Amino acid sequence: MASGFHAALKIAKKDILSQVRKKFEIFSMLLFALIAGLAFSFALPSALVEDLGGEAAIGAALIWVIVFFTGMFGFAPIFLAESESGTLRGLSVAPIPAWSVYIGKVIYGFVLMSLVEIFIIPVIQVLFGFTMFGEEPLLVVATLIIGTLDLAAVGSMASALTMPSESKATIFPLVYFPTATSGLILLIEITRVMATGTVVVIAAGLTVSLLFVALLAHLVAMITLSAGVFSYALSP
Amino acid sequence: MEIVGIFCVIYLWTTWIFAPPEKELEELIRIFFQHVAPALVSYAAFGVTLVCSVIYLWKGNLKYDVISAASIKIGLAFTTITLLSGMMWANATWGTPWNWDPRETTTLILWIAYACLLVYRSSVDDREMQAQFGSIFGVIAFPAVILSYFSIQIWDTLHPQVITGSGLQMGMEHGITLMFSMIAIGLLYILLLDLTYLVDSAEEKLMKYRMTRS
Amino acid sequence: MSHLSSEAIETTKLTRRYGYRVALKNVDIKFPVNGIHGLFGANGAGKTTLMRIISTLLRPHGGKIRVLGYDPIEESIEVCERIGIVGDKDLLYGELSGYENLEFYAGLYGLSKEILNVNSTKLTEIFGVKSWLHEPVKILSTGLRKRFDIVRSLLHEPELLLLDEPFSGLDRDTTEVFKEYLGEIRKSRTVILTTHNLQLGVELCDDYVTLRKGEVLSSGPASEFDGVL
Repeated sequence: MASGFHAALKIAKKDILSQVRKKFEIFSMLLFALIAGLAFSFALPSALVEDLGGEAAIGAALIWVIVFFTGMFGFAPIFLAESESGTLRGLSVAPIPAWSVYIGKVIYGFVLMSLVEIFIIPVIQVLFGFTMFGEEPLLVVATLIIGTLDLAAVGSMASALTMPSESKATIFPLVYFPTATSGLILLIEITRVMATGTVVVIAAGLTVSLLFVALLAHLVAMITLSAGVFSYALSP
Repeated sequence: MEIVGIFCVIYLWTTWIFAPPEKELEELIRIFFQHVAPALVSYAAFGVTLVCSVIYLWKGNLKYDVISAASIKIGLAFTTITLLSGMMWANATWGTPWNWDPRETTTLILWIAYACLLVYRSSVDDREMQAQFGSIFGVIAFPAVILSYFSIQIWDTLHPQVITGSGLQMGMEHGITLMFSMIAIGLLYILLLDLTYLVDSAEEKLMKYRMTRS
Repeated sequence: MSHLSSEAIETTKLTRRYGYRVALKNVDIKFPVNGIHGLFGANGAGKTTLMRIISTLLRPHGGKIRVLGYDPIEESIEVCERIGIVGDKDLLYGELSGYENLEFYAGLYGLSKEILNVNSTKLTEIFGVKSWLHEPVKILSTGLRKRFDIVRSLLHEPELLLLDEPFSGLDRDTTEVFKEYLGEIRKSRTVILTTHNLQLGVELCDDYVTLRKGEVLSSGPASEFDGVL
């Protein structure tokens, strides 16, 4: 019997190895992110961007929106592929705790999305002419990591929930959106504050660090909640 | 239960006739009474869904899943009333019905979240799977309620705060009317939940009978 | 919680619903330790449901079940350590090689590198797939994939083998090799086998249980099987 986290890492490694060879999902996610960026550039001509608070303010939000939507279509196969090929049964029947399957998939989703971000963030920054790394680049990177982990946690759970549904592909966004939005809002606020250096919508007295703590709390809550109920998804 | 229904109607009419027009807002205060109670009761309804979902996952008794589903529908109805009455107030007070204010936005997210939950449930054919996974989703969806409720604390909003730490910020008659509206809507919720539960479980029995005959 | 049980599987009034239907209704079954036990029945009789409950994939809605002395719900890890499953779909990851697949599962079952190598060498030799160990599974024929899948199920030396229609779609050679292997292990391991090929079932099994519409219809030594489903 393998310990829970150990098993999770093995599962993540297996998925990453498969993806390195297959490359399909990662490439389609990268292209999708690029297309989304392009679509936004049509919607936001430079004059409008100026009115809305400058490139930094828009760009920060834009990055998260693009990541969010790329996740909406990139996280769907995380459990669906296992379910359709039948291999999910192999994971369910292995002597590992149910939550380790979930956590392994979250790690994999995180790695996948991080690779997309490493590519798309510089591209968006160049296309829209701003930088999100402002004054405290470490804090921005930390937010990126936590935010991506948060979206991966939600995306993996949503993917698992689509398994019993009749119309799996169409139902995924409906499960993903409600659960991801709370995190998304926090992420956009934090990133925008850090990029522009000004407090836009937050109440006076709330600093960035407080928001960051809220984001961390959200991450912990989503992961704990999902890992807790996951055994009911693997053995109904 | 019919008695409760009658009481509800009496209480509801109290809000219209009994409470006097407020100084600044005059008749508009009436919207307030149709807005606050449905909002809070909808949060409670989704809370009931959370609790029943957890109990179903734990015990496996389909009865809890029927209650959970019924509560989603009624909660959604009350959230709709909350949004619409809120928009009427906003239009009257500030000129535009929708401002993308955090409270408005998070409540809209709440509405969409539970509407998605309903659609999700209907997309799962197997009744047991529908209950099992619908309950899991019911648990995961609850943070949206928390976000909506605490949105006024987290963000700077235009949304008025009448229930602050120091107590009710309103006149005596309004306070009483508010209390009555809370009781009325609360009772209305319980009544609707009971009726929906009866109808839904009857439907389930019918389905069961049809399928075992074939 | 006793693990000292003479029965491999013991169910008492086991019940499981499927939507509005009942898949298993108050089923009482005992499968003794060691030997090949057949589970027969028409489609929809409840065989697969029972197999899934035994392998911890489904929770019972009523009644009790013990697998090798353990409760598959409360002690699912203990049960999972001791069972191996083979179904109609193989549990292999196409992009990985046969060896990488076995390595992955060995990791999940907590097998050391040495045991992995010893067992995989031995089993792939028995089933004739050793030369294909380092090819990606997706290029292999169905027969070879199935053989690898059987190796996968045996890698951690399970006490109890659950075979749900293992011979369906199998070519003759693979069927023969598998039959031979089962014949060799029947004295030291427990095997539960479902199959639509009743001739093969009666030939291989020591005893049987027949299910019909979620209830036990008949049971006994394989030689006494009357062919009624």
